[in-house]
Amino acid sequence: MHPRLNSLSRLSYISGLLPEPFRASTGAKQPLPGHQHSREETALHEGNLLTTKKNKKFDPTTFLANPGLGRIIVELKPKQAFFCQGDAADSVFYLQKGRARVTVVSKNGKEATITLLSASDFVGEESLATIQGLRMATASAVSSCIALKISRSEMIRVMHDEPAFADIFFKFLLARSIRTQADLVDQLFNSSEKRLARILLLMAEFNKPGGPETYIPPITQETLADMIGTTRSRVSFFMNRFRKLGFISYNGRIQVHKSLLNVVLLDQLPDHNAQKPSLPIP
Amino acid sequence: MVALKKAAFDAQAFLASAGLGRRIVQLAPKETFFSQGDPADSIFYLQKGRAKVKIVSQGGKEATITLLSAGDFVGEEALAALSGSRLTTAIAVTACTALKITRDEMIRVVHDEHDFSDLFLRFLLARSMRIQADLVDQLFNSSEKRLARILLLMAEFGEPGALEPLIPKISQETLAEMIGTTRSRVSFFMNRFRKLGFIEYDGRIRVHKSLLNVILHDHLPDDSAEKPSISGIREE
Repeated sequence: MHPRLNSLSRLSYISGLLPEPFRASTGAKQPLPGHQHSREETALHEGNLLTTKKNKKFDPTTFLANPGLGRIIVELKPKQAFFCQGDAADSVFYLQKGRARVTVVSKNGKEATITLLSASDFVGEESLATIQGLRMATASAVSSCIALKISRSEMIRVMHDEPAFADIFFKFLLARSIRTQADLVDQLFNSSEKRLARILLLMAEFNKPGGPETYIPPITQETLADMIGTTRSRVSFFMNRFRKLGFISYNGRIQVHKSLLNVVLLDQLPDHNAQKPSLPIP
Repeated sequence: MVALKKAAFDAQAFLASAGLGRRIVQLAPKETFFSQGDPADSIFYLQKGRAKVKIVSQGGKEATITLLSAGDFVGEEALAALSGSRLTTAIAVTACTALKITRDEMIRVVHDEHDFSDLFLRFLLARSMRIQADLVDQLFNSSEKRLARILLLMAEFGEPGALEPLIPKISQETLAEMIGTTRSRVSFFMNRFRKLGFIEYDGRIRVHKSLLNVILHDHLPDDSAEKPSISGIREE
């Protein structure tokens, strides 16, 4: 293993994948010299020892939608945990339905929400490390959730055996990495107020195709405060400003208006000390 | 027809040499691998040298997000489904030698070679978890603790039998960009750390294990009775 990867991963409490004993992905035997068998021929040649299931084309969507060997469906009510900080990291979850979040608690008991999850996200991927470690965060349901719980060994197997699945997982991991990086940059660059605006826009799914939802799922000001690293009273203060400026409406649910985009994109936020808002409201 | 035996794939050999869809590039310090806004069409494997990844905000503020050394991939976002342009800039800190792999070739070899996809997955997982830890650090810790953490990570105190408590050369500006504060604050904290014996500075910074105290404890011993002790107050 490369020494550099070693040190990075040690600090992150993982040390890389354990290479499984090599298994030919097709399961087919070597062809006899001078004659090549197709996989179907091989099955017949061996007197149907290979089941037809192995020749069936693998479909990742079907795999992720159904229970099976090493995978079960779990249903969670709001606030129930998929797993908790400190648990053994022995499985990966695929969220089929619902919304969830990932939180971390500091030594001092401070809680921060680091990721919001929705359908088609994986969570708990740190369990794919060599040495089975511990969960570094807690994942819990925000709304009712249905998820596929995939055991660590089954996840490793299907990553090895099915390139179509590995593709999907790689894409997810990349997107997650990019998103977390953006959150980090947000913390480094932006004021709390802009971070709040950004979170509200993400939750209203302005960035997803198919038009924004505009209504965000129910969420407390405490959770919002946790996510952007400020206090509940600051969040309350900002939300009132956003409402006065027409960026959001509140009728039991928070509705986000397109004008909030300007806050994030164009640096259009009235100065805290200004008497009047300086930005034009579209 | 006799089936030809395929030569066993060696991931390390692949990453050490040029070939179809991959070539070796050399960069002098401060040269860029790629810049924010460029088309994201390749991924680099750093063979030798050190580099950093930074991002510039619309307001012109800069942040250094990652430090890279030999064995790291950089520019992996090119493999993301919807990737179009680079979101960040990657710059050589020292002279660098890297393998530039086209997007298509990278996708092919990840598909075709188990050993390689294992290796790349390990890297992606480690990178993802490191960024997540950096984010948690920003959310929980004061600037001073964030600086201590960065210095410790760079001295790789996680590694048992670590030979190198000297950290690689890094400017106070870069440190400031990485933790989201000003160069003068970094200078202030570094002086405190030095007075408290946590670091030594003789052109290069040498980190002592005692620096861990900064992270583990909420209050530091005072170097002067007049000054208030630092508590974990986040700066905006």
